Amino acid sequence: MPGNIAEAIYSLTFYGLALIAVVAALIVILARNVVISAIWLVVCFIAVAGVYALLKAPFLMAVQILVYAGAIMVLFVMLIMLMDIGRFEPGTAWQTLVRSVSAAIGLVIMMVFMILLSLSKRGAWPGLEKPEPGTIEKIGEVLFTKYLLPFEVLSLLLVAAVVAVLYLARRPEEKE
Amino acid sequence: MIVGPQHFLVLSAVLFGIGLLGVLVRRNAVIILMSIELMLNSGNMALVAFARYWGNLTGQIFAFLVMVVAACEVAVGLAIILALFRNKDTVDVDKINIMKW
Repeated sequence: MPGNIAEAIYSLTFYGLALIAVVAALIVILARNVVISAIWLVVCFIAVAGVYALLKAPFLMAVQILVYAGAIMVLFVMLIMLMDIGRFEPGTAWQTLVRSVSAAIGLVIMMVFMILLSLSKRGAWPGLEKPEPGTIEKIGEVLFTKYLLPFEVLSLLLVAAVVAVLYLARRPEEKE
Repeated sequence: MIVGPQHFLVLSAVLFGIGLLGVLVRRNAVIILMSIELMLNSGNMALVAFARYWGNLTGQIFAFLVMVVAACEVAVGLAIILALFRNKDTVDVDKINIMKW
């Protein structure tokens, strides 16, 4: 049946993207070299963009690729090239202990999340027969009517961020 | 097996956990920022999954707003790291404790 085939393709795509995203995220936090982390972060972001496509959110997929895989990664890579931060220095025994305990706590929290979410009874999507919610026209309509104030506040935030970054990253004044 | 909302939520939880692990374990400030980006991404994924589940656009709008805030955060964070690197010649968060005691 064509429905079953479509379902199988959807599942396969989801599991493939999930595998790529998780492996890339693990490489990001485990790699010794910051440049390798940055490159795998792009892979993870693109996999997440694919997940947005599966969730019928094409606008967010485009924004994800433009903003994350484009702008934010250029920032990261430029900064890594500006600074020599590839050096790795081992920590003291106390720092290693604190870090191991933190990692264990983080893993436990993650397992609790996963177990709780797996126990959820809700199986399929209820709104499948409704009109598709992710169209760009509708997003624009909602963004400029119901959520106009947050949208405008965000533009203020962007201006504030630009000013802050220009101040923080300016060349230090020459001391006479 | 039908891929339902909980699959996306579990993937989101796993990515959040990996990002949390990165923030807790790594000492390089740049990698900590990348891990924060991972966590924001997983939150976005959960928001979009819920938007799809309820057939409602609010989740997608919120994910969009979070993306803008994340872009601001990463720009300011990287500028702070650059200023720190100029002053202290390191991005190791264990060595940047001038405001601690």
